[in-house]
Amino acid sequence: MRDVAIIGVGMTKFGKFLNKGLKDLGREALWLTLKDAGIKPQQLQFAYAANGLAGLITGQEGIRGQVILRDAGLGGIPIVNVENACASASTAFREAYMMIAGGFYDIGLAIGVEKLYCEDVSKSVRALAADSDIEISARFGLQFTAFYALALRKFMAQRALTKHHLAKVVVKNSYNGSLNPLAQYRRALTEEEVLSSRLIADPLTLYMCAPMGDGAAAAILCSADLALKLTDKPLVKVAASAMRSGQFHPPQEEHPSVVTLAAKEAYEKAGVGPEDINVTEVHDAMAPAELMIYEELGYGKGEEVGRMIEEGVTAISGKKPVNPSGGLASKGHPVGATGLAMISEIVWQLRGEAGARQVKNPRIGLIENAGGMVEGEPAACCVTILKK
Amino acid sequence: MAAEKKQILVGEGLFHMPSSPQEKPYLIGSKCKNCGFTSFPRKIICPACVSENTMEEVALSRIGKIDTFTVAYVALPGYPSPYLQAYVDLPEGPRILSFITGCEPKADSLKIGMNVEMVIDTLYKDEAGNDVLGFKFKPLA
Repeated sequence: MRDVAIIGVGMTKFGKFLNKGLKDLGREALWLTLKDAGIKPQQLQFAYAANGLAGLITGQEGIRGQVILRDAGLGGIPIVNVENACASASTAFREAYMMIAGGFYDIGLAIGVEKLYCEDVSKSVRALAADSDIEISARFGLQFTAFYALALRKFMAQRALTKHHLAKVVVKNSYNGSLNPLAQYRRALTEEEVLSSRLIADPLTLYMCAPMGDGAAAAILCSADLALKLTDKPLVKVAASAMRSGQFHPPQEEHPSVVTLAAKEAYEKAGVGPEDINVTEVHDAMAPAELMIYEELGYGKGEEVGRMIEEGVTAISGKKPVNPSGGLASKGHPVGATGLAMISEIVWQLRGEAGARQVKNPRIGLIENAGGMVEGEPAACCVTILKK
Repeated sequence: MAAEKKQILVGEGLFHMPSSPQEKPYLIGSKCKNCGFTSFPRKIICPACVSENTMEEVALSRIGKIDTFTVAYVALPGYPSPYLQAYVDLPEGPRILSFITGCEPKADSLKIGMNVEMVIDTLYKDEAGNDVLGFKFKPLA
């Protein structure tokens, strides 16, 4: 296995862009990333292209990557389409990483493109519900907001957490989002605003939930040796890429979650522990889920997770900053682009290029990106650790 | 004249539909004759011991306990809103995702640990306006 570096990242602004298609978003992200890497498109040897829901929303099936990338000037090279619900982009990144680590290619692209907004909102809502087992949960009306709410009510009851703890996560992340020029929402919210916004799935209110979103993000990876020749920027290497799928466990028994298992594997591969991580992006499609992920990543346990948010431990200026980008509820969540947007953020943070939301001198960053739902837990989870 | 609206069952083999008022509905699960694990819905491969063809069909208890719940205000197209959704634990082991009916869709209608009973009810209306029937649970008085 060879060391792999990320020499370029990029993302479009996330938001509602009814006048932009998949090609527009993909082209913009690709060329931003090429410029960041300082290379020409002809230097790319392969591409993994992630998308979650275009088949259901726009009808474009099968060859989304080839359609988007051909229009953006890329052809000839192997292009592989990747679909893994909200974890699609991290999955594409992981495949690209393995291709280079394994020595099959020297330099390649991972890109994620998504358009959730369309003229018919019910179409988008139905498409999102299809990221669960449609014979069981989707048929019984399960909505992802309700799925998070079911888990959160229990989590809160067991750890003496209140709705104020949930709201404080949104206060922190919306402030971070206000510092991020690429975020979908850029207004810092107060606890009162969060709690008085309308209920979506009790205890979740509107401002706690990720919106629909359009956007694209990408990364260019290459062997560490080649990276030294291609770029003068601080070198960001992939320390670990772990991926797990949900698995069987008796429903009533305590068990490590798919996130916990992926994190454990990533820590082992990188030779680090949770205490070594300086900056983190987590998959908080409903912002308060961040509290559950603190525990799953080993950052805190039980009632401590409540104290972490109360005392600002996970703020940009805290000891353990989480979601400096604004997280999914503020930055936006175009599902097939999300993982690479998180990876972009951590690369910018490690290079010291994150502007007003820069965490102080981080050396090791972690990205947790989960997707879909099967039998009550995420279907897929990728945990990536990057180091400077 | 409008086409006659029909009642359609949500899926094959998920629950027993009573054919007379004397009969009660129940969920159809399967139990592994190798390790004793009980699943809902029915499985061919036991998810616990991963054996093939050891799962035998069983009628599941009609009464379970609420593991967790939510009042949701955003519904899929065709579904009523607001609505109560819960995980219900059955004594045989399965944890069932279900709507809760028979009470106001409010958070104080339910409590974690409360007993609920399985019933047949309309889940949603399909695009042709047919009632799609499935199972729900309702609080026991």
